[in-house]
Amino acid sequence: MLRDRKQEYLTALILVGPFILIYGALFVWPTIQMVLLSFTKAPLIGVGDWVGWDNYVKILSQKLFHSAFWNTAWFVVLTVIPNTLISLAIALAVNRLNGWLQGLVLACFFLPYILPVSVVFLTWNWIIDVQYGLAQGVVALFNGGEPKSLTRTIPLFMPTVAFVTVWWTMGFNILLFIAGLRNISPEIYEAAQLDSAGRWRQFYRITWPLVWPVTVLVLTIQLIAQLKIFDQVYLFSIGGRQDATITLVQYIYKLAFQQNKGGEAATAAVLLFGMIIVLSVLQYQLLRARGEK
Amino acid sequence: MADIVLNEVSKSYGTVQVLDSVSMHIRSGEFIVFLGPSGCGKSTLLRMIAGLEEVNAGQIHIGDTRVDQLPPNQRGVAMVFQNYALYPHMTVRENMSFGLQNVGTDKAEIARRVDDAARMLEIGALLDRRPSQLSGGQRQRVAIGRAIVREPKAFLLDEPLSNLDAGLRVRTRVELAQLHQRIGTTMIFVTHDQTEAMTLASRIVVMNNRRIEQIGTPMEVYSRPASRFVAAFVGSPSMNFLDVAEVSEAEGKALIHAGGGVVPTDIAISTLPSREGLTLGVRPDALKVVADGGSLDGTVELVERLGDRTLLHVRLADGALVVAEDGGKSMLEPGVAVSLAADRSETHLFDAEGAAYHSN
Repeated sequence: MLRDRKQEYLTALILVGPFILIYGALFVWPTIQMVLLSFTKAPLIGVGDWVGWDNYVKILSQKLFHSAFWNTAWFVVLTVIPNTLISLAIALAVNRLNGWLQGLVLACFFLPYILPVSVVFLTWNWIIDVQYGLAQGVVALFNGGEPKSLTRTIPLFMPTVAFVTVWWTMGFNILLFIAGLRNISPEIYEAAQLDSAGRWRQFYRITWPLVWPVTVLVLTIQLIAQLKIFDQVYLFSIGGRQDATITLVQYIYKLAFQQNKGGEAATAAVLLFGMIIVLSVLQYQLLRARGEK
Repeated sequence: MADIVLNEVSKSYGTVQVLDSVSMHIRSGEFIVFLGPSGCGKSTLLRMIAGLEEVNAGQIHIGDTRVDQLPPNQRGVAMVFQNYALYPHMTVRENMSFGLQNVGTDKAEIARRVDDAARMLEIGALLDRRPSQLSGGQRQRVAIGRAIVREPKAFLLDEPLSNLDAGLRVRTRVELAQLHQRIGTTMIFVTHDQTEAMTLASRIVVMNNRRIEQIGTPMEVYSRPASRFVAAFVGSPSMNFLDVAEVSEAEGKALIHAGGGVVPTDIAISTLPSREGLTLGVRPDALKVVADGGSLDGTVELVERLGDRTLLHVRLADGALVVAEDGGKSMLEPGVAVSLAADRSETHLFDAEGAAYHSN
């Protein structure tokens, strides 16, 4: 039977159509609207006058935007690479276990990942509480025997939230690494043993290069997620000097919902969107290229 | 180059025993094939020699050194894995150099050995490729090359031909035999394919059910199988087995009543511990169609023409089915009645435990 081209196109359109419609209506159209909005002096709801690049000039020169940018960058530094390294280390350890014990340990590490952020916040807020928190026992060791608030001391705020974030999200990364490690045939390690490669050399010359693609994926997912950080920082900073610990998404939230500046919020959002795209594509390409050398 | 001696080696996983007190002496330069069905323990035994499996009891010596407690890299053996186990992220050259780099061999020496091995295996043009860019046969050569550059005391090959297609398998088999002749290093080769075993081995170790059934040259194993298992496992088509109804005697030799006829043999009756529960074994190539005077009569059911010879599936008078051989130009067709004569010097008897009694 001859294939009917028209019929094929129609079938394809019917199958792809719903996705294109939904994707267009819920992602592409709002994105375009947001970009347009960033060129207007609009409030949160309703339209505003066209102001050209004014919003961009204003935002980029604002001190709060700068501090949001640097706070976010600091948070990314504190979470992305440590989280990846810790997840890989734990995955390597878990991968050496067998049977039900492996399942149990993996479940323990994955458990935090399924918790909602509010539970994570309450749990850790309780652990680090300055009056009765368990963690204060450790803090006192470094503070001359005195307790110290970890979320009300500005230099300690980001490291604390980063620590909680790593604890919360590493289960998923461990899972990805385990999948990557299981892909490496045991025979390859046996060959390496016969080739006189010790533990460290096996890791450095075999495991590490072979899980590199997974590492790149984990780093990229982490980078995107941490650039968008909001919840934890917001929750832990309630009642504190929020402007000192503000992150980019929090800054957008503040402009839009607290100051009713829709246009400027859209501008900050477009800037963040651009940063995420550039950084993640750049990172992914650079790291992938390194792995293929 | 060194002898490899296994002394009552045993292995079990928990309560499951996979090898039971295995002993053998492999002489330097031999091509030894471990042959047996899946699960007989042959791969485990090879991996124990390599040091990849722990030895529960017994000793393994390579040369003058007891090695069963040494790590794999200190045993001086190299292994070729069934799936080659090449390092996927390294080029062929890196794959071959890795082991030498790890022991601190100097760069010029590594380059020399890799180039020599590459020339010998004709993979010089592939040195900068990755395993994923190679065909199965090329990967196989690289795996062998990786073993050669280490200049080991023995090569351990775990079913290395099983992933190749039929034509390539035969070619690689020949090349492996030539390689062994050239470098003269001891090789231990594991396979379940009796053709590979017969064609490659200086001696075959036939294994079944945790134990060694027989160690012998290919022809010894073929003509004088130590047990019914060996007789059935080695040879294609397989040996014919007929239940023995009665054993009588003629001039000290056994006359076997089986398959509805009486088969004369050269088996000395005095060697038989009992006349009960015996099975007669005759290979198809020792069971020929004769014009008359055969000892077994039957009807041809199926004719397989192989060109140089013809295999006949013959239903005997008592209902048993045997495979007999006729010339390549045989005119026989299904349904024809034939008379078969067994070469009396190539008849075997097996007792109820499977032990063999031969004609000579």
